[in-house]
Amino acid sequence: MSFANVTLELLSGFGMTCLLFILTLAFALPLGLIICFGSMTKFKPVRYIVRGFVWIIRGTPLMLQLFVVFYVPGMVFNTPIFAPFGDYGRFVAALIAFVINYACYFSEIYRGGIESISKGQYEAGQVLGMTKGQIFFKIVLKQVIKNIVPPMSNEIITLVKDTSLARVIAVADIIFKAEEILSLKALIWPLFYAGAFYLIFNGLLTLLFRRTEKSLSYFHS
Amino acid sequence: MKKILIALVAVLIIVTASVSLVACNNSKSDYEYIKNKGTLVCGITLYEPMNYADDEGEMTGFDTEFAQAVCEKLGIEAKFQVIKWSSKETELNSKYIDCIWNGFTVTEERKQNLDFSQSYLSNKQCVVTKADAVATYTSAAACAGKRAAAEQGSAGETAANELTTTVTAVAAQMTALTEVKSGNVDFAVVDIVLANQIVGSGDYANLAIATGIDLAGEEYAIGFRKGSDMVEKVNAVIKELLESGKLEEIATKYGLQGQLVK
Amino acid sequence: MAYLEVRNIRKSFGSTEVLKGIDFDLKQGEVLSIIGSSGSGKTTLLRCLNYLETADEGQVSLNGDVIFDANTIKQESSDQIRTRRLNFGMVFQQFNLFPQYTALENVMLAPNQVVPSILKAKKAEFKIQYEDLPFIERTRTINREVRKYRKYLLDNNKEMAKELLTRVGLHDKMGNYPCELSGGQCQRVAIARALAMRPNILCFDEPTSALDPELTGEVLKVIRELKETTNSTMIIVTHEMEFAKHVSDKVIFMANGVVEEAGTPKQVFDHPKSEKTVAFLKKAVEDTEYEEIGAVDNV
Repeated sequence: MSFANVTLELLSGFGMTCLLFILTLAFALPLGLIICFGSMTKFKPVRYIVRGFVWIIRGTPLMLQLFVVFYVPGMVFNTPIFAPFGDYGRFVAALIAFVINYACYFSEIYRGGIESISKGQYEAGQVLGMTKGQIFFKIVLKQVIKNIVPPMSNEIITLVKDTSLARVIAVADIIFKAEEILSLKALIWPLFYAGAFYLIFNGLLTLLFRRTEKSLSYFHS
Repeated sequence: MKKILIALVAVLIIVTASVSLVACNNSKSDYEYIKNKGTLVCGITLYEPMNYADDEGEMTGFDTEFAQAVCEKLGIEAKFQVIKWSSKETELNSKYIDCIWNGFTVTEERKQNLDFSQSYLSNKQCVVTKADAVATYTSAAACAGKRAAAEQGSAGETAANELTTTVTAVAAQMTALTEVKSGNVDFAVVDIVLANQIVGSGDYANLAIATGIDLAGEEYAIGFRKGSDMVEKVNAVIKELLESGKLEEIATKYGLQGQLVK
Repeated sequence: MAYLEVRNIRKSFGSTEVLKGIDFDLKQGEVLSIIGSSGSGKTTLLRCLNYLETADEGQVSLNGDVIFDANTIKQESSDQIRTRRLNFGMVFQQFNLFPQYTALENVMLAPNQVVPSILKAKKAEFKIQYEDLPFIERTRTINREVRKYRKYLLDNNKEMAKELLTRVGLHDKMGNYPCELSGGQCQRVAIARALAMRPNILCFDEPTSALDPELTGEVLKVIRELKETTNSTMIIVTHEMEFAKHVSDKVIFMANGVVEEAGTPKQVFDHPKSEKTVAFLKKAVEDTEYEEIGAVDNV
């Protein structure tokens, strides 16, 4: 198998990796905010349920969650719920598991960011007659963003690598492809080659985060 | 905190109860279910010469053609779903696949959890070592005291345990070969069909099969869900294909005619 | 009838009663200083006036209107409270400037938030005004007029903010972020910000306590100028006895959640009746002297 062929194979897997990464981010970032508000609400039943849920998701391996989302409906209710999605069923299942898992991690980062804003900032907004929404969006949000960029970039870079876990339910990501080449063509080097894809991708992300951090460095809270 | 614990225990009980309830629940027959949807989904991993893509990217291989021939007779379509081999039973029980048809070795343990069709190919396990050390592996006794690797839960693991005391169980047969190549273990026990394909080629060029060691034989069959009536339907078709000489024809195409179980 | 009437304000945190029935009156244009040791409840009183804490009992009325009643406050919507709290401006001990905005943006922020609701009302006015025009032309005209009015309002706010910052002596720091300003400059921005919503009464919560001693002067000067030039009504919680003595029209000495002594600066500082007041003032003088000796030593 030539270098070009291996590259093509890995690229098709990397497309899957990128798609899973981007869609997970797109859904988990807003969902995390909703979970965060749920875990901070004054309404106790909701707060306990949400915190319990976050505890379960953060406390169990993502691999197990992938298994539960994809296989358990078929085993318990006798209907493989992802079968109607055809060839995309596995991807959809992986996406759901990843979105739930990462939304919970993001929610805790958001919570830390929001709780780090001093009470004085809210009070200053209140005495100026601003509404709750105005205080959150005009005063608090940007400070929260500044505070959460470092932990977020950590988590997002972990996500890039975590996507390879989706192969346990046979989502054909780049590592899955590399393993396939290994067992079909007895070639080990494509695995390391796949590592280079991650490295470059994460390198670009690191640059992006550094720029974001820099663009917010004009103020200190 | 106490409330959370109580809620948690309640959830666990409900989940366990519903799982066990459904486990006893037998719905309509498996054959009807498959016939209704018109496709037999075969769980496979890409594996030459059983199931693999040819140069045009078309699925081919002995098991591929065999499955297509059987399904044709049953009036359904064969579909091939690449799975993670370690999850094959889960895939089967959660109904994402309908059978495991991929050079699947019959073992006593597996028989407890799923039903096999009649065997169609005989297979052997073999010992693979580094090429420069293979000369010393003349008999089973030479393996004693050496470090071995084999796929977890495979027939190879059982065989390796009989040969030596230190056996590392790894996730896949390919990993077992990589263990040998990297020098972590002295030999691996894997399927001869796989070894013939891999050993001596590509990155595994410096490995060799110890031909002097003869391990117990075993057989390949198709795995179905426990209690499935697909077994008798498929067995009848296999018999037909054997009688008509069709199966032999396919086996010959892939150089497996010597291993065919008649 | 006084401008501001505070009656029987009580507030407890858990089992600790912090305010045990506070009463006082204030005339328009008067400056009230509230003094007292830490924990006497003076900051809590100020926070109750600003609705940052909800008093358990009592009433507050301004210009004859009841603007706070502990019995009915629970039934009021957050919008009603929001409108009412604009009667008061607040300058915090810790400034609480918004770090991501420049000095100018800090001052403009709150007035600019009101712009959309003003525009909404204005749009309704325009709809009536241009009723006779054909539909498309009417929509176009209204949209153009609304845009024009929006720009006018925003420009207006900007001008006002610039004026306020100039008044507190920061005309050359308008584009600076809070982290680039000294504590004294930050507190002056905070004063300008509080003035931007045109409060009837401006409250200061220990405005110089977080400042280095050499920076307190500039902030006190701004407050003094506000009194002299605009005749603002102000309530100042402070530890600066000299300042309270010279700027205020009225002084309240609080101890253990009650008004221990109230009167003109002359009455409270020069002829205190209560023993507690005497002890407090004596200690305050000693502390100041000690500080001054320390300052000399450092030189």
